[in-house]
Amino acid sequence: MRGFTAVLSRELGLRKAIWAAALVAGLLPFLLAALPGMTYGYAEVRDASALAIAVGAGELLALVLGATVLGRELAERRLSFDFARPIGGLAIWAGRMGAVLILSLGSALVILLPATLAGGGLVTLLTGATARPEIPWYWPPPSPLGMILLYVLNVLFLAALAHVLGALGRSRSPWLLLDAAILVAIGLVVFLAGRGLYRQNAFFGLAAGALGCALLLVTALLAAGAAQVTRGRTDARAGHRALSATLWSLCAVGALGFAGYARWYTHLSPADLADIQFAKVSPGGQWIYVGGGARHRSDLSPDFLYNPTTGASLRLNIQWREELAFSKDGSRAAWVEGRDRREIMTAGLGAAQPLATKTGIEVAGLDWRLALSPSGRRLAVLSDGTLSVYELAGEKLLASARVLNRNGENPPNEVFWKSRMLFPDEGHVALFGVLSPEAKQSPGSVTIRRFDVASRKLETTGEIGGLTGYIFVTPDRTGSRLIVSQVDGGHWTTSLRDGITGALITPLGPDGHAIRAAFLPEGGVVAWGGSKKKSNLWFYGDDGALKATANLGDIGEVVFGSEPAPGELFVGTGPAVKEWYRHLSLVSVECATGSSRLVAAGLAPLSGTWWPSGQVLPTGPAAFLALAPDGSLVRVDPATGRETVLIQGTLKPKESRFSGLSFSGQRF
Amino acid sequence: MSSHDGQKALHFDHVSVRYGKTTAAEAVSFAVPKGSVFALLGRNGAGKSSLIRCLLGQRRPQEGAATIFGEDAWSNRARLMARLGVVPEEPDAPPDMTARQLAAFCSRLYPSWDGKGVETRLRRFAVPGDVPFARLSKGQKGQLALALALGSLPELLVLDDPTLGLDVVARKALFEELVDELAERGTTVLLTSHDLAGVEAMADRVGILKEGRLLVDEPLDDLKARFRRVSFGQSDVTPHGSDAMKALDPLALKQASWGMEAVVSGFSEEAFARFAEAPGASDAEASPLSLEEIFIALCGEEGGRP
Repeated sequence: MRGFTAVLSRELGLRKAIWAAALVAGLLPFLLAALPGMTYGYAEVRDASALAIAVGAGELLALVLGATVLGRELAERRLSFDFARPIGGLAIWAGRMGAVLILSLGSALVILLPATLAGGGLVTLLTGATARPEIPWYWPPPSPLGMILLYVLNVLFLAALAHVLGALGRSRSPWLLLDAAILVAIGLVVFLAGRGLYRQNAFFGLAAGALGCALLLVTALLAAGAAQVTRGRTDARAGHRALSATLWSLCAVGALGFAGYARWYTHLSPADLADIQFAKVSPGGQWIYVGGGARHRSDLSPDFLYNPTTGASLRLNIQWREELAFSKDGSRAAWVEGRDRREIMTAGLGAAQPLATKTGIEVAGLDWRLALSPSGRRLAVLSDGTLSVYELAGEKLLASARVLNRNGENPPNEVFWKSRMLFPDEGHVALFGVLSPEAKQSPGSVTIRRFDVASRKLETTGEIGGLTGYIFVTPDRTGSRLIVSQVDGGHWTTSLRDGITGALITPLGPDGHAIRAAFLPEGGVVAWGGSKKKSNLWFYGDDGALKATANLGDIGEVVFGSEPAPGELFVGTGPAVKEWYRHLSLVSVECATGSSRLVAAGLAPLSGTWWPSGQVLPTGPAAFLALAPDGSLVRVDPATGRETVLIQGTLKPKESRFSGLSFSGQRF
Repeated sequence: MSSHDGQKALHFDHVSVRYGKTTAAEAVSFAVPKGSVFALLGRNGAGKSSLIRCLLGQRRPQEGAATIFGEDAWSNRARLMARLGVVPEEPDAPPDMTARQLAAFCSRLYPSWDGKGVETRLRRFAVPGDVPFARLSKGQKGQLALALALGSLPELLVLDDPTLGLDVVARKALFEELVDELAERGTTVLLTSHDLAGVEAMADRVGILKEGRLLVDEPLDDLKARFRRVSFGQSDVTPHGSDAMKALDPLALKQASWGMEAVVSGFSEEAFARFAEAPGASDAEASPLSLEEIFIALCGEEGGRP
């Protein structure tokens, strides 16, 4: 310690002139503020320029002193004076680097001193009173102490960097080529790891990794400088060796650590899901699409195709969750990946472990729709106002057409996220375009179009006009019928219509005031509505005739789920309270009699139709899946209500699972 | 550490120093007993400074170890330096510091510091106290370095060619100071110098390095005793190949204006007497050599065998 303080005080004493220069520099802001023609106020200019000069001077000193205080003396072999004294190598290094730090930071403080004595400078910086939006280039940091800490680290980094670069530069050793090669290799590892995080939008992970790398870099630079002095001593070659070995080994550890961290951060499986925020079930198969928050990765929301029966999964880098399409037979899925170049991907779901395959088909802009034919062999893409149908085998374009509105304009000003596209059979594509008053088109309408793949003809087959408020449409799986809901001023109107012409088949609920409705797998329709005290389920046949009514009593909310067995319906029911979706229970209803029983409290059906209209999932393995309040995916035994956890969630009771998120392809 | 080690102020134990493919010192071993003055001699590039750097813990030898007072110099450098005074080959110090500031700086580092002694020596050497080190003459820098080295009252003084570049007066002052120090405190001294006359006046023991190898390590008196210049007149019968000459085993033999001269490294009176009586060796005389002459005989172009 005696050696350290002696070296430190000597180095400070030798550079006393810096303090005087800093004091003079501290008076410059007063002169600048007094210059004629200044647009801003005297105090603002004084404080801003004092801060700018202080910050700049501190950093400049860190660079200059860092490069010379040790490096030059090592190069000129003057350090042997210290090494011939009873001073440890670490004290020689730390005393000098400490002096660099004190001089750099101290001179910044001295520059701020006159402005501080005048009531500004450091006082305004620390109290945050420097928020003066009228000076655009001077905006105070949100946390002055945090920024000061960051500045101290920055000065330390610059001093250490300047020392290391200065020492390497002065060595003029052929080993510098090896240094450069290692630097490039480490830089490449860091770049690739960072790019991996960036490509998955893991910005928090990227920032945390970058901060870790920066801290390690500062540590490595300081340690390398210390090693150069303590191990190399007055021997320039040995010093270079010690510096390089320490610097690059620490940097390599850091780079590999960062690469490992990036891999851990981005290589996820469904087991890493902390809460499931989105789910879509393949109508004819065992695969489901799940997405949600990842454990220990607050900014990642990974998506998977997941087979709950086998546990197999496929990670997706999907761009729009709603637009993952399953074929009706469950043999294939299609989705869009890529940030700049959006390409359609497909996966055959017949394999035990499916693989994502690029189709080479791109979509433009942000609005697109995908639909797979029932067999999964054909793909319909609506993008940039053009409907195209491809044969996936060979990626062959079969047919395409521009989607024009009634006036022959393209694209039709329809609300993209509410419009629907369906591939009801191998030869036809159905489009249901919603022109909603939300898009300032009043009154609203639904335009029904059919595209014949063989003749390449796109026809408008029907139009539903005179709609008001918010409009929602859901076609059935064949596109032959359509549920249209509209809510205007809290007043719901729901109807079953012909899927080709749009003609009314029947209003749903008393006077058509059902709040939610869904197609049943066998062709019927279920609707829910009623008063707060007395709500009902109404079951309609495929011809629209009312078949049965079930009184649910005092139920505030209902979401339609699946058919655990033919003629039986899973629904989620809950009270009409704020955040009602937290309080759902899984209830089984006999469609024929309307009798109901509680299956499990606290569960919501996975395939729940949160949208005003939707489709009830047919009987199959996915029909027994539900979401628990902690974000878990569970399988429910319909007879006993016993739950088997498939993916363990970790949500705390107060954490919101649903807000702003989507289920079953429909945004809540 | 053996009890024998306890008597050594410093010890080089098979020390090798290399710079890339160049060998500066090869398996050098010698010890300096406490209280003695050891002169390590050698031509430029013989490896003296490399060994000194190893001794001062500023360079790690590739092989072997240098110890001071029984402790490894590399591992315990900082602690050992408290017992050492060093005058380097090229006196160095922060260029902006004056002699007074340097003395004040050093005074904080050593457990005992003879501030008055430093001041006295600086006055005696006429080194100005308030002139930055960079502006001092080479002689003044050396004298300041010596004053600072003696200021810590060292048990071991390491002088790496301290007279290099000094004029005669400064050289004399330096050696006088050393003699005084030795007389007062009995400090052990390791000295390298090209001023062999000065060394001869002080050294108890001498080591001579040639091309990184130690040729000689023995007391100065012994060295001088075994080296003689043998001069003899020429006659028709040359004694060069005679058994008597072979018995003298000369290092070098050369033609002098009046006869022949041979430098003998293992002189004995008996061998000389036989040679003097040998045919052809008329007027044979044996005279002692100065250290400088011995050094030249060993390290000159023709020398080499100790």
